[in-house]
Amino acid sequence: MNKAALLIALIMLLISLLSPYIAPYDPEDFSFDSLMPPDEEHILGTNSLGQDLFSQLLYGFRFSTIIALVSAFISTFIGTVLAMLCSYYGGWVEAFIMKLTDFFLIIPEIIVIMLFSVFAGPGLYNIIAAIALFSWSKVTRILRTKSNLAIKDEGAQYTLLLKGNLADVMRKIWPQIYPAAATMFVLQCSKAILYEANLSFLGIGDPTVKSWGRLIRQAMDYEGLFFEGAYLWWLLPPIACIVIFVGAMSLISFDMNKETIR
Amino acid sequence: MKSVKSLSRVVIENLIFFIVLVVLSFLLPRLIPGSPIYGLADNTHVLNMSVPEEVLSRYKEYYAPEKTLAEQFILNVEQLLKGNLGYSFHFGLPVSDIIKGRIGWTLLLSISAILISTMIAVSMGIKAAMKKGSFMDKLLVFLVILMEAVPIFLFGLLIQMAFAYKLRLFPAQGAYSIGMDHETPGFFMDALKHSVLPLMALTFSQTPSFLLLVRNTAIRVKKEPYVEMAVYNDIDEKTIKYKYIVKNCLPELIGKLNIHIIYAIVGTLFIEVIFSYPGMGELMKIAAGARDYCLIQGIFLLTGLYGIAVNIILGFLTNIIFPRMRA
Repeated sequence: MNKAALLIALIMLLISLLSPYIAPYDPEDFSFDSLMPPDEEHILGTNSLGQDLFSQLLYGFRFSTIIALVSAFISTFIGTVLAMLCSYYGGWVEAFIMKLTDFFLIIPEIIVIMLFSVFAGPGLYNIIAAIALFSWSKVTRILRTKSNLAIKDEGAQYTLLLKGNLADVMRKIWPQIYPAAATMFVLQCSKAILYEANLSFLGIGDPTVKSWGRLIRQAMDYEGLFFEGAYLWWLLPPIACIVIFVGAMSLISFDMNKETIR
Repeated sequence: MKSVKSLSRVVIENLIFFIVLVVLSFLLPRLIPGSPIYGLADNTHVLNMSVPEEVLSRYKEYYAPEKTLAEQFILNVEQLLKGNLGYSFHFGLPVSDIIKGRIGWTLLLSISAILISTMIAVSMGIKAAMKKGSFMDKLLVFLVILMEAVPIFLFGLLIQMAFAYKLRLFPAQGAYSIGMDHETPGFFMDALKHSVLPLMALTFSQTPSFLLLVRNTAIRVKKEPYVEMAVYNDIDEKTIKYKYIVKNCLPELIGKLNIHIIYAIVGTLFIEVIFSYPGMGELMKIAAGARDYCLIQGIFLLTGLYGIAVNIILGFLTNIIFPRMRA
């Protein structure tokens, strides 16, 4: 189970790295006939603008995985640092940070992300920033318990006794919460993919960033999608990619979970 | 005395959340580099169409970009107290009026979905827990895990394709037939018929995780000594099921319901867009597409307020029903 999911994730990563080399056509090239069903030349046919859908899907791997990995990394980083600050300072700092994570339980993260990215305007960096800045709350909530336990450990306590500063204590805590942080990173990846799909679906973000979500949105915007059977090769492949990605991530985290988050 | 203390704690906590919400909705649009609020005076061409002078002046009046941040904040709070959420330049109407016309449809859809999925989840979850390890239980858990991995828009699309386009049983789009008179009794039936498919999709997406939670909680409660004692005392199964098990699962169930109800406005987004349902989700899509800043801010504030209100009500409920849950 674990190995299969890991293999799928690696293959997806490889595709996103190699997409410019394996894509048969330029994804922006609209010189083909429009709405062709799949054949040997166009594996997934073409869309209403006459662009090759298979190439678009392959480039979609690139944008979606970049957004997922980078924003998940940043949000896990923010969440972990805040969790460690909680256990180092305790008191009102901890209370304040925990209240902030409670806030995101009540106000859905996606709506804060939406507000931010509408005002920030289009751009790949703005999408990543929006997702990364407002999706760390769960990381903090889970890792705080871990780091509160870790700081009671001998190593960290000696460091505190020797008047070690924040960085020293963090260095002592990190090896203990690292497995949990890795699990959270994997979970954040699938969350980021879904948030990005939400944003693209709403039409927020950059029209030139052709992620899976954007492909879904383009397909949905075409009126005759269901009457001509075009959904089979236009709409379903990007949805399938998201489902497989999210599924692989949750399987991986599920197996990591057994050992770490309990 | 203790209950008053813990109830006032709920109120104070949520008051803090409310202040954070207002400050966030004020600061976020203004602190983002290159924010359109400051550039709007020079850039009257939004979406390649020039904004009429009247709309622009209303806009400037609302945001007042030339004043200092503190003055702007006071103005913002004053406007909020009056219930003025700004003016939507896409619709040409006050934001509060637009939201008022739509929030009912969304709440109708999501609250009925929550009710239905709660009923299914509780009844089937308990049944699975009572027969833990049986073939039915294993099958149910497998199906639930499978369904959990399916994103909500896939449910929506598949249901729309099967029941609206292939079988033609129910209408595929909208919340009522166009041209229908809102006063006639037929309107109710018409609206009901239109809501069947989106409701089905929402229920399908909400039930699995809920069912799993009920099952796992019930299995835990089933092992408690008081349930085992009840079994030895030959108390009949129905009483054990509902009085002993379901009642003690309630804290977890209310926690889960809390999340579902908070997501009631935002969670219908995909379903509403797929079925062209005239609720908040579709409004969000229009607002985002048109970059209608006031409208988006209004939706944000209202969703936040709604979440806080739900939090207070459910906080009170938990306090009253379960004294032992009091912090």
